[in-house]
Amino acid sequence: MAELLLELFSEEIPARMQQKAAERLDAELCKFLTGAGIRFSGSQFFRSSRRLVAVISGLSERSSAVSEYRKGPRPDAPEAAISGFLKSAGLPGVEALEIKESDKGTFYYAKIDTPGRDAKDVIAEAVPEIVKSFTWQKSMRWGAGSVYWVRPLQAILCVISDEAGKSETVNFEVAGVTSGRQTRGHEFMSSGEPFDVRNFADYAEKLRANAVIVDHKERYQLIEESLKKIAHDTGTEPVSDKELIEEVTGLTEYPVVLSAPIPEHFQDLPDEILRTSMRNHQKFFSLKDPVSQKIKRFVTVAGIRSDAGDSVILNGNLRVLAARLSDAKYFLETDLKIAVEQRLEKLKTVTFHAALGSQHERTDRIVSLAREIAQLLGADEQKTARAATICKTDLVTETVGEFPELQGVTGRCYALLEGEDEAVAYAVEEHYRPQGPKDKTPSNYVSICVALADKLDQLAGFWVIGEKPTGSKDPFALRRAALGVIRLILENKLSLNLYQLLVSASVRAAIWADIVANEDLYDLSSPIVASVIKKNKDASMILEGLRRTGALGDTDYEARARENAQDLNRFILERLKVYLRDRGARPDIPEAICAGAKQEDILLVAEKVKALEEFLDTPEGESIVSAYRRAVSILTIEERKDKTVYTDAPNPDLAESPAEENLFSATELLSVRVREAISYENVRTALTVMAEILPTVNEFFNVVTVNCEDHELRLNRLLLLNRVREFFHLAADFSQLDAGRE
Amino acid sequence: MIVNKNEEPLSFQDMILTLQNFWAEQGCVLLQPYDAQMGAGTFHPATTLRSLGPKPWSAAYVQPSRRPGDGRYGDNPNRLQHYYQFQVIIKPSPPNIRELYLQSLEKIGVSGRKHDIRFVEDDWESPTLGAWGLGWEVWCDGMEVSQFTYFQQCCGIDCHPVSAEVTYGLERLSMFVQGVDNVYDLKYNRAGVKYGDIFLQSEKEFSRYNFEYADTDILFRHFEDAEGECKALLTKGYEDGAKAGGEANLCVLPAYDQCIKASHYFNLLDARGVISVTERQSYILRVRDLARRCGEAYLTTEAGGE
Repeated sequence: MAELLLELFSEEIPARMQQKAAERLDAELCKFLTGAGIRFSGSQFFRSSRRLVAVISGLSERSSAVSEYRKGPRPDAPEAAISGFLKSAGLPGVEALEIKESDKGTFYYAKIDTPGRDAKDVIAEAVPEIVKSFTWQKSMRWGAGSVYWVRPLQAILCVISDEAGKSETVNFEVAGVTSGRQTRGHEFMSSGEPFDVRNFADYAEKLRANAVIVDHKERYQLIEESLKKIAHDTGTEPVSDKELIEEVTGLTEYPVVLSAPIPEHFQDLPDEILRTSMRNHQKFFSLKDPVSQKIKRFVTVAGIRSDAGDSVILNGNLRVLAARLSDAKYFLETDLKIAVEQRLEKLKTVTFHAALGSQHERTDRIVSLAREIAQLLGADEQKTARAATICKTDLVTETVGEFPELQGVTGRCYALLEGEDEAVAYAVEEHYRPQGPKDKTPSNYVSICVALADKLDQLAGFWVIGEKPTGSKDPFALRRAALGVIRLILENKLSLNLYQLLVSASVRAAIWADIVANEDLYDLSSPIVASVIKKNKDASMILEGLRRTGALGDTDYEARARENAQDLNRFILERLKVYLRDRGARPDIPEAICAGAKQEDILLVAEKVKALEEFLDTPEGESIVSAYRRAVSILTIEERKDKTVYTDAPNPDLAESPAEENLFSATELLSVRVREAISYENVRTALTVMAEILPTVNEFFNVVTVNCEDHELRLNRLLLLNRVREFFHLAADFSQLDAGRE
Repeated sequence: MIVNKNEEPLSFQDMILTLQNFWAEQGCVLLQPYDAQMGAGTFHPATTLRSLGPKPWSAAYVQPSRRPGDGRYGDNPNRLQHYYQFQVIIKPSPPNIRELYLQSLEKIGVSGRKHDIRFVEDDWESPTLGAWGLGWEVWCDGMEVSQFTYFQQCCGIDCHPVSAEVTYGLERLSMFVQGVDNVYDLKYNRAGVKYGDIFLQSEKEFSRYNFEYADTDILFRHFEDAEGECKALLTKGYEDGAKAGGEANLCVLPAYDQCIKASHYFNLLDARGVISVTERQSYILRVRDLARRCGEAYLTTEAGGE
């Protein structure tokens, strides 16, 4: 049994790409070997800023020879067929073929021998191919070459070794690099001279002697433990940041963890600003005081143990930190000299979108929409309005100008420093949330109202000006906004008429878009218009108010808004389906629930999906589906024949038998109860009630012939079946359910 | 060559001389700064245009760089609206370019055995030049001292072969080498002249100009003029080239001068905050369009061709 060691040595590989690349290299290599019939027992990969390493163990040094017979044409087949077969089998003439008889007849057979191949040859073929077709998140050419790699590839080490101590280089060339048996140690902490390597154990040991820890897991652990130790020794605790440990693990081959206190006069900076500034710009960890929770120290991970002592490196880092924090402090002080109302005023100069006006105007829309939502949810309207009013003001601060990633957080810090209510301050930060599928969703009601208003306004606005996402293009992150709306509603179990809110948001957006487009006609800055907008929280009241001032023409904004809202509602439902599918729902169930009836309450939709999914797993559920299919398949077949859709009311007086009469009354009576259950959002009950119709439906089909001779009777029975269909559709469009599942 | 005899850190000008000597020894032609205001050494035609086409090219030069928005009236110890970059451009990128760069740091007193030198991913892009490349920012004890880029595209044109571009931020690097916290305290030479003696007044005056005094109407007009002139020159260059019976454009470099100017006027207007967020994008695209036209025209010329 042999071992393969492969190292691809390059200039610095971006930290964030290393793990995936090493995994891929390992997987591709295994795939190639398996495909070539080379057996092996295990594989591992390692990575650092300069190397991707794959180790295959228990490798068979040769694939076994395979002989197989391939069946050809009959000996009496036409000449062309036989010569074609010879050609495909790579044989000179019929004399090389064998004739065999079976119960199906007599046929030519070609014996195909695939000789075993040396693992070495397979690998020499595999690596260049893998390198050339490797996919990186981002890759580049260099020099005069045309091969793509993440950064210039400098050397390749590739050896096969066995337990007996034999070690051979696998020879090949790719991207202008010839493989060999040498590698190099740490760029600065070793002599830099290349050295020979026999196998993986030898490799790891020599690298360690040359100041390279090639195992990324070991480096990760080393950093994590050093952090803990430093924290322990200095009486602090680390601010947990696995992502950053992961990143610096990839930035160094020999991590040296160093720490120093943050100079006293910077410690009064708000923690987030301090932490973000240190983390994002310097890749520093923060250590905080366990009691006050204030950040006291920083930790940096260097890539060397300096000849001149750790203090040289620490001092350099401290100087950079001081420069950054002086800036941060300066920004903070400058910002706080300006009152929040002045910042609000300044939002007038910040364009949100050319066709939708400034951030100030957007704030006005968010305020009125947030108040509307607060009323619906019974949230504190005053606090909601205040939070909505100041939620965008940090956009014009110096701090956010310098650290855009601190938008929201800065707003919260400043609001607290300026004495705003705590719920208001947190809503300022949280109104951006959730930013994606993994981000936390706010659960505080003031935050929820502003967050929903922010997203609904964004969606309505871009919809009004025709900037919908198409295909892979979604420049205004509207899918994310829709997902935010969905998560806010579902995770907080908010029962809301989404459609009505969308209409409301659309009216505002449509008016604004018009005002922006015709600035000279509607002077938004006119005090009358502004006061109408501010005073009225309800969009229709704004409209009326504006009409009275004569600022708006005759455009039917309500009609436009309704159309806009319907389309948006559909979009959000589509995103809801994706969301539910991603969370493991059967894909056909959201389709069945969303089809047909207007779905304006997405919490109800999600509950229906869940209830239907559970219900379908019960015996009753299964029989409902089959009863539905039975009733509706006859109906749709006949509708297709008659080229019509039966929707009229059937005449109960034409019922001939008790079975038919019963179906009439059952549909009617049960419909009332199903509707009632659904209106109380009890979908499960609705479905259980619905199941009560089963015996009646079955009895009907046992006794009654739908397609009878009497034309009038037939028509009436089809209309009755439509009633049954409509009855089922009260809960879901069962025709959308995937028939193949049963 | 300046020898660092008594272990005293190099002065600002000695550092420049050392870098120049080092890269001259590597076969680079030493150019002098381009005589136009520009935001970075990359705008110098020795980089922008010479990185196009197949002909080998190696050059090193200092380029004064103007970032009007970074002016701080001389009050900030790190920010300047006028500073110096040392730029190296080599096509095709040599296999040992990274090692050469480290040697150059060693020459100016920054040893990798003493300091923590790291290559941190930083993909460079210049939207106005239609240029991008992959590379790193180089950190020295946590301070960014250089930008290292393998040019993949310039003026919207794929680079074949690829150039390596190394840009040293001279003030920062010198502050690091001299262990100084305020740029104005840098020793400019060994005779006691400080950086501030030369540039403090200029920083104050230009900050006033950039943020307050510059007549924006004139700047807008200059932008338009430069844009118009650039296009007109290229048109004329093609026309007369065709008359002469060839395909070469006869007026690429003067046209590119206008592109540089347009870019600088845009930076000035941007610093004044008179360009809105949405307009901003369209100005960038207008400059990029000029750069693209110049790049394409350059490929028709002797220096840019086969």
